[in-house]
Amino acid sequence: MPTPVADTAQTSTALLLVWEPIDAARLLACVADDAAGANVLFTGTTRGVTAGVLTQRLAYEAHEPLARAQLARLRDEAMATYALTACAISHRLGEVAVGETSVAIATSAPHRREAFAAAEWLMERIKSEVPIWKCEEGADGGRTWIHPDGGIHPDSGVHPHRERHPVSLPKAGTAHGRAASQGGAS
Amino acid sequence: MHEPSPPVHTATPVGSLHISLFAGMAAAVGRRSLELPWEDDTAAALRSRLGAEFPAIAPLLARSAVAIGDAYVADDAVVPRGSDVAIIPPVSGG
Repeated sequence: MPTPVADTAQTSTALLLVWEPIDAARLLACVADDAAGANVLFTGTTRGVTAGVLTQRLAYEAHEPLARAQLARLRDEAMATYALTACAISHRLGEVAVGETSVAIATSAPHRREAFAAAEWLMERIKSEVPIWKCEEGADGGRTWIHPDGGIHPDSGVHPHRERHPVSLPKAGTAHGRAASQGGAS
Repeated sequence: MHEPSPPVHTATPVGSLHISLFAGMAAAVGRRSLELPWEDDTAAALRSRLGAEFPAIAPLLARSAVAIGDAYVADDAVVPRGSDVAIIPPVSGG
């Protein structure tokens, strides 16, 4: 009789936004499943140097209800698109010291391609759609809120600049292969 | 004296819009929230109205999305009276 491990990912919704250090190993454990042959853990850590400028520390803030809703929607979409066994996402808010984990994504799937591709896809979407903002504090104490160039085109399903379900959605197994790299947080 | 409820100095007029600002936008305006009288605006028109009132954030407003409650709305969506509106400038999580 299969153990109801998949439920673990469902109940991890409460962990989508956290104010404490992220326990990446715990997130990975959340997606363990007898049906999964591949488990991918991505962690984004705060970079100490961005474009040659030293960053002392970072802080994140969010529109929390909207961010939770968007993260849950993206997780559900990833589960369906990549036929994942389980998926868990955790993004940290508040001050995050250089080198600490600011975001973690864990995916599991029967085979590795889907697990890698889903993690990469989720990271791209999180960085462009979920209402979370980073504030960099330099060694001189100056604080800068980061608002990337270009417009925000959140895939809300109603924003005129973006299709509800982008036709360019990477097919499972064909996305870029960088999902597992340790990545800068920005 | 038993006056009816006072008609003036109401801090939050019934039906006005509660606007939440975030990140660089809140920093530029110097506050995280404000009230605006309700007008029968679309989300895009509301952004323009905010930009006229706070020129410092007009360029960022043009690149921002609008959310009501916990959902994004389209630029042409009408903003209902009394809405909790959030202005979402380009995001930088991750």
